[in-house]
Amino acid sequence: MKNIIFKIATVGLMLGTALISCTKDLDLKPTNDVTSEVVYSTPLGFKQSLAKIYGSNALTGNAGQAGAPDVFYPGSDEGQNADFFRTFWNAQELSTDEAITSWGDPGLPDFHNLNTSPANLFLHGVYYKSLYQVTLVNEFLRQATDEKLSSKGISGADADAIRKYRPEVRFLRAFQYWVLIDLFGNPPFVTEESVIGGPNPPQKTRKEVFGYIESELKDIETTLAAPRTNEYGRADQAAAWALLARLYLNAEEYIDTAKYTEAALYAKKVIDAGYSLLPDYRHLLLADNHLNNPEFIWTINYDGAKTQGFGGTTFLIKGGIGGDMVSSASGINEGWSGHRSTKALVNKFADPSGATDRRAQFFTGGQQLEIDTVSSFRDGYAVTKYRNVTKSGAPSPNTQFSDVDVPVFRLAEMYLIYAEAFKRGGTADANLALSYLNKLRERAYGNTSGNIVASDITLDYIIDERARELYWEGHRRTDLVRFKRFTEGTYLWPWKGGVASGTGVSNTRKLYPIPSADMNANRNLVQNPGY
Amino acid sequence: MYRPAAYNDKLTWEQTATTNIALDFGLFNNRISGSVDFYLKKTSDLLNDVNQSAGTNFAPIALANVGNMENKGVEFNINTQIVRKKDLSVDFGFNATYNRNRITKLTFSEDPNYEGQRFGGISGGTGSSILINSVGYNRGAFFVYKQVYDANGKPIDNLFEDINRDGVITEKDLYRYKSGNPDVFMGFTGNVDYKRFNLGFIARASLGNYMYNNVHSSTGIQRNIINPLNYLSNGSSNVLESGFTGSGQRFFQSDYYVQNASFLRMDNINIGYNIGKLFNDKATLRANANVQNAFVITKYKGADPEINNGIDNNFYPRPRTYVLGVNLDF
Repeated sequence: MKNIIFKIATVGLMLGTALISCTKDLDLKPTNDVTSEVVYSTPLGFKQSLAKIYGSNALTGNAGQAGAPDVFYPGSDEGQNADFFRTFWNAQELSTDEAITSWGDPGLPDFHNLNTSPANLFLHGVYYKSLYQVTLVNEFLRQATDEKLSSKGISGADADAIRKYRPEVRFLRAFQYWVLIDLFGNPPFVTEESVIGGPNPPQKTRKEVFGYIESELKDIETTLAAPRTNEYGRADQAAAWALLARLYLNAEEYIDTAKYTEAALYAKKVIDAGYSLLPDYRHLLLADNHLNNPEFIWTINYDGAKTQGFGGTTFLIKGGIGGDMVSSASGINEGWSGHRSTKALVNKFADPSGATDRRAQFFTGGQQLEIDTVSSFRDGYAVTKYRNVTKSGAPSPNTQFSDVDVPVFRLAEMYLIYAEAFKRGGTADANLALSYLNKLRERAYGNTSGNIVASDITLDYIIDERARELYWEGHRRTDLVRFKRFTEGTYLWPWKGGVASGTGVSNTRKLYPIPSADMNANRNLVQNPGY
Repeated sequence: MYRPAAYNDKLTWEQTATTNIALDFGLFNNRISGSVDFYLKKTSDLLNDVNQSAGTNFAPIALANVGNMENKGVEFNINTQIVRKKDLSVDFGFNATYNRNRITKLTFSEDPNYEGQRFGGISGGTGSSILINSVGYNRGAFFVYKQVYDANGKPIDNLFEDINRDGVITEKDLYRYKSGNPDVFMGFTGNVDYKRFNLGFIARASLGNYMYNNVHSSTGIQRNIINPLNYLSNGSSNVLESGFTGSGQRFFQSDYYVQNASFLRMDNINIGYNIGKLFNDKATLRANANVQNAFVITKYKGADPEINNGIDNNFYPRPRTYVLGVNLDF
């Protein structure tokens, strides 16, 4: 009997020990991966986190072209749907007179047809990529507070450097919120006060988020690095001013209140900060456009070796090559026969050959101006603005992926904002506005033969000049909306609204629908009207 | 570059509470034996991949505890030794399970109007998912539009029933239809020994499970085959039946593509012969032949009716294997 009791006691003891040690064993830190405590314990860790925030603009994920996308949803493709600039460009350009694509991937023709649905995967891409970057920034700011830095023993020059990252990432967040209010209107709203895995974020109105972007930018405009003093590709004060200028220019559309005086003011701040036009327009979007470039204010940087992916300028160059075009002339190994222009863009140039206005960069051999069949690459002139060759004409060392950087903001846009703000009644100098516009003309024509006089400055002139100067750089939809030509039947282009001769559509199409995946997940969201 | 991964610090274990009432029986000297088992399983904190509200995590989809589910059913099995003679024995076994499952709670929202959690991505579509978990319905019900058919029973391209009768077809006209989970499973085993021969089989059946035929929906459309870039792509011959052009996007979510995938599968048939002793009793020799995955009886039109989760999308086909064997034992 004693023996049995002893046995039971032993088994009981063993079980007890096993249970206790088991509970403790479950309280483990991962050994196979790096935790946030490790990452945010060194200055290098902070810099690598900052690199990720910037890098998420140029990369689709952390494993090169494919394998570890930042954002993934069922049915999506990393190359097509997880790249920021590619999906942003689709939304801003394919929906307009500047570009049309032959590809029939579900949802893609809907852009030009002005008929997107909440299920559209490309819209999922830009929406989630924007909010992904916002989430990264929020996490960075939570980790980079003064208390956390001192608790980790980071002080002195190291801590100062990290403090300098804070306004930069806030700029990146403000930029993404601009993308969100421009495309989707009323986005969900999260800041560093929000928590990961927390409750569904509230939806804020376009007006509220406009106010937030404005206050954030004004708050950081003094703490950011002075213009042109930061590393290339990183944000400085001029980037914040440029975003403010763009925001104010569109204020009437965003918040029903004109802010043209402010738009001119901030455009002027950038213009006076030491930038100048690159002498040759045709050098703007080449493989070595990061070198000796006094015009770019803030860029998304691509590198054929270091930022491999099927988005960004690789997509713009390869997607724009087809028909009789020789891909090696663009310094790239293949063409994908996708996007071309419509005649509404081509005809804005007096001479599409480029002999007069050097900004006209079209490939016309074997192409026809009219678009009879949307899916035929030969219908519509191809665009050769982006090329993966250097200024000397040599191909870039890597012909599979592009080296061409994308200027999100460049000086020419600031000239155009100043002139438009002036024309729309903002307080600005008429002579300066004229001289800025003529600087663009002089570069385009190579002399003063294309110059205009004060009476030529009309809104019609400005919207057309914006097309000539900035086509394919991701501005057009915003511009057409502001000029009330995007959905209206008063301005048509080939296949607008899915009709060969073009047609107006409901003005609810000025905004894109909030993607269905987030409508399903976040019960606070209200879909935009008309979807 | 350091990239934070998505996490959920509220994740907990899935828990299941089971109640059973069972009866075991043996008759005629256990020549017939078996059991009946009624069960009720309540699972709470069910785990699944779910959409994260944008801005709240480092990925759009992450693992979370989604809710509670109830499974009710009955299991039955019987084993018989039909013949027991010197030269002949025949055994036969049969088992069946009837199961009914319902989602009883979803953690995201107490809102009775909440449609549920969508999942189950399909290819070719535009990020559309085809499955949904909703309170009061089967786990993983298909969330689809109701296809309209013409008088000859042919589906009409891009015409769906306006379920909420508001005059337009929107996502609000999606409805929950069937699911990939079967109502009834059955298993059959048989064995016959006659003198030196041996014959055996194992078969399984599954009833009431449906399948979304993603091969048909993504390749059996005209747009896929006659590509806009002027080359021909491989396509499913289903296009000849449906005649779908592939315009619009809603056809991907048509219930036309949800097909009955009930099946009976002969998993294994084997036959053996014991040749007997050889070489002055120094060795024994046996020969056998065996077929794995011998045949499937099903109405399902795709390659295989047995695919987990009910989405048939480029499933790697199960091989049919023939094995001939000779065993020599010393």
